[in-house]
Amino acid sequence: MDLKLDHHTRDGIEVVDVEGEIDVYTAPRLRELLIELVNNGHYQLVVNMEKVEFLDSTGLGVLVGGLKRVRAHDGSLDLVCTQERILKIFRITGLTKVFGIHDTVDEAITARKSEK
Amino acid sequence: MRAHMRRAEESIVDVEFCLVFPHEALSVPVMRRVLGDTLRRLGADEEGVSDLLLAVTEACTNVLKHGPPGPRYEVVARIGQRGCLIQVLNDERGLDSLLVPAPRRPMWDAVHAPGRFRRRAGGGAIRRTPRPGGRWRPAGEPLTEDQVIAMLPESGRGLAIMRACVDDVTLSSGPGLGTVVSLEKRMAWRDDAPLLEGQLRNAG
Repeated sequence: MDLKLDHHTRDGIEVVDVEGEIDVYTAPRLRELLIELVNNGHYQLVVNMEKVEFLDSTGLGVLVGGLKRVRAHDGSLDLVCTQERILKIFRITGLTKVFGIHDTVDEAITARKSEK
Repeated sequence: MRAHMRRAEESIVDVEFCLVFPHEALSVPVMRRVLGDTLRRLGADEEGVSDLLLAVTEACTNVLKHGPPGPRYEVVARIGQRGCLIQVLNDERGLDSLLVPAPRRPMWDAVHAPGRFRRRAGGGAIRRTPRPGGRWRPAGEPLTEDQVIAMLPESGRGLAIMRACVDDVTLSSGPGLGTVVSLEKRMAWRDDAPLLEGQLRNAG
């Protein structure tokens, strides 16, 4: 399984659907997409990782890079993930404290809207 | 790839193979496929497989990102009932990046909120930062969330992940010896695991 990326706007927030494996082979494509979205003025992002089958430190680096980019524009990058094996990687690296991690896209959007 | 199936009396290793890859990113998902399929077919517990593949991915990625542009690197796998030993071997230097300090954990002390920290972390947490001379001083204000995020490194988490996912991580390196990352992990097997049924041992 390679990496499949898709994105759409919902309630003014850009939702990025990620499917497959994020590693050194595929991460550049996710990095490029996040940069492109920010360059196009999308500063409120939700990355849906429910269909991610594999994530490593390279993938984490891309997400951190994306977060730093949107925050430079006072934006946000929230994650949707309920898979234990993926969440574990965020816990190991202390990044659960950096990203808002939600159970569903709806929840992520609602949380972001209420914070405004 | 060459695989050996050994007799029980020879070794506790049942399956051994060596993958030789060019320094190309595609080698990493290919390694995961070969190693993962082998372990699953032998009946390894899925959680153990998942952890091991993550750790080996980190070791291989380090070779690709920071190793010399040598022609090849190797992944040697030894699998037995007790567990796995996976070694990632590269020709020359390449461990430097692994020895980068871990993410600056004390930073989190400055923002005391359960779970995710708040945008403005109030309260009187005192952050201590080392001076160049090694002395510690209390910092005036806790870091804000924006400051913490701006300081987050985008790389350097591989070793922490490896250590969390396997039982033992050994890094060895020396002039002319190349570098070796050794990952050892005890494995759990399904009750009906072919490896436990000794099929490989009788095959010889």
